Amino acid sequence: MPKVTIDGQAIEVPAGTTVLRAAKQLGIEIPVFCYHPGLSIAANCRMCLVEVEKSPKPLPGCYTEVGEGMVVHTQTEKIKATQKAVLEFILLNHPVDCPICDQAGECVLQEHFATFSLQASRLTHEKVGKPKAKPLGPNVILDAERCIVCTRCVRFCEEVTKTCELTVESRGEHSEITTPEGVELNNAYSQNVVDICPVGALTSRQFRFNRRVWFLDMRDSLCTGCGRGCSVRVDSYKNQVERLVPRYNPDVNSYWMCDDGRKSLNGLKDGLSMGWLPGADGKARQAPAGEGVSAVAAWLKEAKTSGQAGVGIGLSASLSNEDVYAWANLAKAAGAKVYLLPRTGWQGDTLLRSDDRDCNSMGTKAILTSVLGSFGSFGSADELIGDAGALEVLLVVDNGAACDGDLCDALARVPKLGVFASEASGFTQAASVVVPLTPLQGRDGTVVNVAGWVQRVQQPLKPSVTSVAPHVAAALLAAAIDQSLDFADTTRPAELFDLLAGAVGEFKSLNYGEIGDVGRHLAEGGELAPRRPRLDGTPQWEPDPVSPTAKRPFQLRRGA
Amino acid sequence: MAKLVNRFEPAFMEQSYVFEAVKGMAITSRQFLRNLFGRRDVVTVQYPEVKHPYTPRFRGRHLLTKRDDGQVRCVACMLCATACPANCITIVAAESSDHDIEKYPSTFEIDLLKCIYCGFCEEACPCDAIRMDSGVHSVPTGNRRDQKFGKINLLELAKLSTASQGGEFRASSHEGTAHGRGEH
Repeated sequence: MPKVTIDGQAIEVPAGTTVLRAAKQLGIEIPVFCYHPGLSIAANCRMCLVEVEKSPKPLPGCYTEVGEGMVVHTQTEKIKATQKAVLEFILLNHPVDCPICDQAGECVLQEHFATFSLQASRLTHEKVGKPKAKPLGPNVILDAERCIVCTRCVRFCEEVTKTCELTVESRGEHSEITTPEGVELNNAYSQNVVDICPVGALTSRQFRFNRRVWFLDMRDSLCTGCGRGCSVRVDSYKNQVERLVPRYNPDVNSYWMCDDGRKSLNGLKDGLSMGWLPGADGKARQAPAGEGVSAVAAWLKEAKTSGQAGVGIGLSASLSNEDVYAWANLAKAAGAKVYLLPRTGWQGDTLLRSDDRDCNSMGTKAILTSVLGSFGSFGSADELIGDAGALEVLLVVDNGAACDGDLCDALARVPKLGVFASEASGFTQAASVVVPLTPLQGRDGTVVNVAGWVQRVQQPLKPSVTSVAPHVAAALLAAAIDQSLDFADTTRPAELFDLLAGAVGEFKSLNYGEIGDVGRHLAEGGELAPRRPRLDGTPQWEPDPVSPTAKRPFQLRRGA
Repeated sequence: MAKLVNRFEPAFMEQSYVFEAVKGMAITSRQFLRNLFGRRDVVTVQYPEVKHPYTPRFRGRHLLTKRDDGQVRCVACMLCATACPANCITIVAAESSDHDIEKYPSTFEIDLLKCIYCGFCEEACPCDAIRMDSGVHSVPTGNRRDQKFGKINLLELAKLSTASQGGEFRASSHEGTAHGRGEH
């Protein structure tokens, strides 16, 4: 293994490691624009130039591989002058319209200019004009004047999605990112180019002008749009989701996520704030969660005392493990049959999007199988349609499951239909009692993705005070019908998870506190799993040193 | 630590109050008669009919300036809302239909009941779009709701900005400004 000295510190790294990565291991940050660890190396921005002894000229740190005995300097006067010159060159035709640029606050160019240059422009000519606010596709808008032609977006479309919609046209200062004639940037992952764009050249049509980034409340969570469960950061303002940005997770989603996932939470606030009950005059009246839960508890108690009435519970596979555990136990105590209602209308692909639209199918099935065990297995939506006539009470815990055609007709035949829902749907229309449910992003909990990775939803939103979390609702109902259940007075997801880990074999030896930001794998019993190969087959993984999605936006404090 | 306080000890004449009251009336009467018949040195004015002149730097009611073509000058960069210590500025940005203007405020609202008139907003503004040099210091309304001033209210007193529009590059005056042209 070659030994290299960077700024006086020696380090031994495997052959083939670049100077940039070796420096990163020593804690030395080399500024970059075009380098992205998820993409191939272009070395065209020249921001990462470092001085290597015995080399006549500075070399790009992102591209230069270390050699035995190499001595590298990153802080010399020559390098500082070089960085200043590179920034002056990049800024030559840049419009510097930061006040109206969406990237301001998380712009790599702003950060590097503030750190390495702060030099006034010496240009005495007109700047080169280029198209502004040019739509590249349905989701992405290009401002060619702001572009620094780092080609991250071009490489993304070539290497990750392999759809090649973007290209660089013309040369020199007239270089411009564009799409070929008749082609538009319309792949399922197109908005990733907005994230990797180091400047404000590519902006998202959904987020454009919505909010300045320094107003956003940024919380780690995961996408609940499909079974993949990409690690994301939920950016919200006043408890309303403004955008989702992928978070680096080597085992689940790498640096990327799909466009539909980003839209999945658009504008989500705290969910349905009020449910309804049948009023005295026959008309529905609005009611908070507590009243609805009491009404449903009365049904269950009645059904239990009579012992005759059929009780069914329809669960969505998009609930957290803790929710499913609580509801499965409730079903067992109430003598209810459980039906699993899938979400439909989704097309998967080979990159990230899973064919399964539910974010927790694996966890739900494992828990139901284990908890219900001898009591009897769970049924499908088709079975529910068949059984509906025999049911007296049906409770549907809905997290976006589809209520269409036959299922809706079947529900209409159930005399007592209680729906726990976080948003209005076909189920809530058919229901006589609706209990407002806290959406998954408004509470803490764990879900298992299609590959068996257990991840935590870290409550990026504050729940509405009138709504109830599904596992709390289950605990309340359980307390009403049977005092002896172990989870009846447990309302914290962490405690529920401990019970769950004790009861369900797959979750054995997993610890809630140790799931962390990137999750643990079911099969490996909570051990940190070895890193999976990258989506394109190359094996290296490393957090992006200057990712625009990294958690350190340009510091602009509110209220001066 | 205890502190010794020297209390005022009134003399006998002062303790009786009668003499002191007469002395006070004499001063009031003298002032009254002087203003009635002789030289007038009243410091109060008949507000609101008469007003004291304000200094040019007086921070009064906010106004939004206009572009040369009459459109609102603000580009909705939210720097005023960021600088505002009272969180009284609400701006909703939108895409302008005018090709030369990229971003404009579709709503611009200042809650005057929250505003503390510190002037940070006009200081933060990179476009000379919000100003407080209206010289209007009180904004009476019949109810609280009307104290939320929208774009229409803020443009009532609108002025043309004296700053150059769009920061067009000028060869003679580029010193000290980083990178000439901005789209604002």
